[in-house]
Order: sequence, then structure tokens, then C-alpha cells
Amino acid sequence: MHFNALPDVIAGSIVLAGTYTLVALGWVLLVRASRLFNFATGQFMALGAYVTYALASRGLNFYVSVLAGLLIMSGLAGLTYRGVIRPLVGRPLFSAVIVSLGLATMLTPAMMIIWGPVPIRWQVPFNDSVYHLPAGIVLSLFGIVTAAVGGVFWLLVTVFMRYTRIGVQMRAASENALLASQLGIPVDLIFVLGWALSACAVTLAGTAQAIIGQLSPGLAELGLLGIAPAMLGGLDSIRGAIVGSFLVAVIQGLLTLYGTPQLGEVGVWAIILLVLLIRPYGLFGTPAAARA
Amino acid sequence: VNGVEVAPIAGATRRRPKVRWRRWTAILVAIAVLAAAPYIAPLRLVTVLDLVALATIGAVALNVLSGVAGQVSIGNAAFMAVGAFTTVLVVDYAHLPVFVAPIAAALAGGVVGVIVGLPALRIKGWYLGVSTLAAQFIVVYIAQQWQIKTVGPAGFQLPIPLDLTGADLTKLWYWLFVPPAILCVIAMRNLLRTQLGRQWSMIRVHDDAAALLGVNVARSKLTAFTLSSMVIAVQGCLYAYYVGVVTADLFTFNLAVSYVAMIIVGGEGSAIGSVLGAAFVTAIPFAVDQAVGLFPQAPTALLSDVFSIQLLLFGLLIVAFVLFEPRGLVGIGDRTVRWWRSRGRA
Repeated sequence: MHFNALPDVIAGSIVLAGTYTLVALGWVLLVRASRLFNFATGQFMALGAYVTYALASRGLNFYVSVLAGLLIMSGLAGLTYRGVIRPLVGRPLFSAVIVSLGLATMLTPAMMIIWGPVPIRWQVPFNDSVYHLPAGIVLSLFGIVTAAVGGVFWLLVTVFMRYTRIGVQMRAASENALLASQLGIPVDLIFVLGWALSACAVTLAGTAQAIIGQLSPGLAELGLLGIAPAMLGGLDSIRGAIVGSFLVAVIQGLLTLYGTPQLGEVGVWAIILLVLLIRPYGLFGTPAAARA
Repeated sequence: VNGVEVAPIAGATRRRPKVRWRRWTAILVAIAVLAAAPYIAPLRLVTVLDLVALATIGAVALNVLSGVAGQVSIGNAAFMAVGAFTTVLVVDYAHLPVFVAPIAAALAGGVVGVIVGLPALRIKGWYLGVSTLAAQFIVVYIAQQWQIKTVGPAGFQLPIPLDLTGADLTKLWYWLFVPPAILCVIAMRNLLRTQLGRQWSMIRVHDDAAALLGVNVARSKLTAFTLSSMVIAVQGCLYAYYVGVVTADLFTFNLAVSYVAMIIVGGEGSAIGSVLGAAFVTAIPFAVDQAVGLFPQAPTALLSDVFSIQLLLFGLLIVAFVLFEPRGLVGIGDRTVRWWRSRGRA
């Protein structure tokens, strides 16, 4: 097709992979922390971006807005867990999933009512610039920052899970909550923390996408697509999140290039269906995760 | 020993005719009311009843799969689309007689149901919900592409082969939708008492234990998926005729969620609950319209948000019912009846 198509695909995939890494971590952290699945994760992504935008557009310093957005969304996620998910402990897992589906259904129209259905172009106080990399790859500064934020966040989560006391406790709690609590681990607090971290990841992803593209409730759909990299990598695997993100981003990029953006998205859903059929626990996940 | 055994049976046989008589009266009255409804009730109400009956078919099918067999599904819209577009294929393209359409829809729905249900053999719970979600986006995409390449945004015309308009049409829908809906409700009630129904319940409660007790879990799950998607596809066929113009964007994710709302609000695993849920959820848009109509001076922003408000209510209902009334409207009904009886006793 196009002669210079491949560099574009690579450039696009790098940025998309950065976003997907964050979104996939949003899904994986929930499973890692509480063995749960929050269908409202996509909506949290859009909401996080809107909250950050609302703060920044009121004259607050950009970095402070991002930080405040992360804090607010962490609080909201923690409250969601304590308020509507925690009371369902002991009931079938079905219930918690359905509640999160209900939340997802509520949040999209709520955002439409508050901020309107028209996409917002976010004017950030920085100038975007373009970098020409070898092999004809062209990346924008915002794209590079997005990919970098994804990478750094992933690295921080990896270190946190592996080397900090709370991270290890989180892994223990997800492995066996009852046993963990008997060993004195504050399971409930750990779960809240997991939900908060997940919200932080998707808020960063939403903010980045809102700045690169535009801010609309439709960001939630990208968040939902983030199930694909999470599942391909393995829903309980932090390492899998980054690998899955790259694979999915490249496939989506190629399908978008040689087909249409819609084909790209449907391709991602097809990946999900294939993963579920062939290897439900993904590339790096543990088989137990699929038996939740 | 003999006397002890005989006594309650004798009592039961003595009481039975009375109960049976009461029950038959109730059934006859119900049939009479249902048969008279389209001729007595105001047209607007009959329209709502049509929609409730249509929704009931899908709600029952989802309730068997999710509420009874415990397999999470957000795939109603996808299976409806399969049924609707199969109908288009059969009637508009193959030019086969109308009665072939629901049969073909059921077959196509069954095939897609098996594909979507296959992951259920290896995975559980919310993983499965994701698989039906994937089906939703894939099916709608294929339908969209087909539509773009053939008829475009105008959609596929699907006229009914009868010369009816207005009130007569509303009555026709009533007779086309209500009997299958009642059939579905009765079939679900009866299914629950069969071996298959009990196997499904067991799989929902504990599928490892079910397997241990000799239930062929894989086969039962696939049967549930196939049966459910076949019924939903037939519903999609009826829906296609009802709307008259089939487009891919009729079958949204929100439509699928509204069916989840129906079984949660009505009562998981309950046949009557499916009807109550279908009625409740179907009535919401009408209620919101009425409520907004009460405020003629309402800001235009509010009027344009009617759809958002409906969605917001769907979500709110799902959350509220799961948290506070997991047995749904059926649970509320049961409790009200018990309260009424205990009040009479005291």
C-alpha cells in the first residue's frame, strides 16, 4: 500500500501501546488486588480525564491538576469499592460484576449531562513539537510523553508489587484473601489501594488521550478495549500488560492502516474472543486467574 | 404405620379439587383479560404491552442463561441482531416465505450462541461476560459492513406482508408477541423442574460439585447458551418486523444492558420476574417522557438529555437492586404477600 506506511504504524503503535499499558494496568491491578473485574474501568478513564480537565480549565496549574485528578479519582475508586462492591462479599461474583456494569451504564450519561456530548479540545499550556527519528518514524512530543508515562508507571507498579511490603501483601491478598487476613494483612485496605492504583492508571491514560486527541465520554470505549491487552498478557500479570499492549497496538495499527479504524477496533475484540477460546489466562497469566 | 401414611394423602386429595378449581379460575380470568386487552385498553397501553411482550421473550431467554445457569451474558443485542439480519437475508434476499424467517433466525442464533458459549467450557464468571461483549462488537461490525455495502444508512426494508396500519397493526403485534411471550414464561417455569433445569441450577451454585455428581457441565452450559441465543434470535426476527427497517445501529450495547437490567430488576432465575423486569424497564422511557413533559418550561438541555436520563436510570436500577433487593421485584412481591398474611393473622 503506502510506501512510508510502516514507520507510521510503528509511531502510532508506540503511542497507543503507552496508553494501552496504562489501561491494561487498570484492569490487571483490579484482578491483582481483589480478583474482581470493574466494567466501569473505561468510564473511570473518561471521568479521570474530565476531572483533570475541569481543574486545569479553572486556571489550576497543569501538574497540580493532574495530581489532584489522580487523588480525586483514587478516592472515588476507593469509595466505589467500599460503598458498592465490598457489601457484596459472600454473594456470587456475578453480583459484583453486574454492579460494576450498572455503574458503567450510569457514568457515561452522567458525564454527558455534566460536560455535554460534544468533544472538548483541551488547550494545554505546552507546545507540541515533532521529532524525526531514524527509519522515517515521526513522533510528536505528546506521543512520546504518553508512551513514557505508560512505561514509567508500569515500572513503578512492577517494583511496587515485587519489592515493597504492601505490594507483596497485595499479591498475597489476591491469592487467598481469607488466609491473608488471618496472617494480619489488612485485606480491605489493600483492596481499596488496588482500586485506587487502578483508577490512577486509567486517569493518566484518559488524560493523555484527551490531550493527544479529544476529550469525550467516548474515551470509555478505548478503556473497554483495554481489556484486550490485559487479557492477551494475562489478567493477573503485570508483565503481561506491557507485552499485550504492544501486540494489540501493533495489530490494531495495521488493521486501521490497511482497513478502517472500525476494523482496527473489531480486530481487538476478535483478539479477546480468540484469547478466551484458546488461552483464557493469556500469555503470562496463571491458569487460576481464569477460574475466578 | 399405614394409618400415618394414609392420613395426609387423604387430606391432600380432599383439599386438592378446591385448589385446582381456584387455579383454573385464575388462569381463565387471565386468558380472558389478555384476550380482551387489545380491544378494551387504550391504544397507547396496547403499544406498551406489545413492547413488554417482545422484551419478555428476550428477558426470559437471558434469565435462563444468567439467572438459572449462572452464565453472565451481555449479548442480547448481538443475538437479536443475528436474528434480525438473518430475517433480512431470508426474506429480502432469498425471497423465502415469511414463516421460514424465525426458523432460520433460531438456527443462526444457535450457531452463534455455540461459538460465543464455547469459552464457557473453560472459563467462568465475568470472563464469559467479556466473551459476549466481544460478540456484541463483532456482530454489529459485520452487520454494519453488510449494510454499508448494500443498502447504506437507509437500512433494510422489512415490510409485513399484510395491508394493516395504525390500530390494527398494534393489535397484530399484540397477537404476534403475547402468545410467544407467555409460551416462553411457561416453558421456563417447566424447564426449571426438569433434569436439565436442575442441572443448570447446580452449575450456577457450584459447577465443580455438579460435575462431581455426574452432571455433564460442558454440555449443560452449551445447551443453555444455544437455547437462550436461539430464543433471542427469534425475538430479533420479530423485532425486525416490528421496526420495519433494520439497521445495525439498532442493536447497541445499551440495548444489551437493558436486558441485564430486566432480569436484575425482575428477579434472577424467576420466570415471572422476567415479565416484571421487562415491564418495568420497558416503562422507563415512557415514564421519563411523561415526567419531562410535565415541565414545559424545562431548559432545552434537559429535553435533549432524555436519553441520558433513561440510561442513568437503567444503571441506577441495576446497582440499587443488586445491593438492596437481590431477588428483584419478585422478592418485594413475596415479602409484601408474607407481610399481608402475617398482618391478617395478628
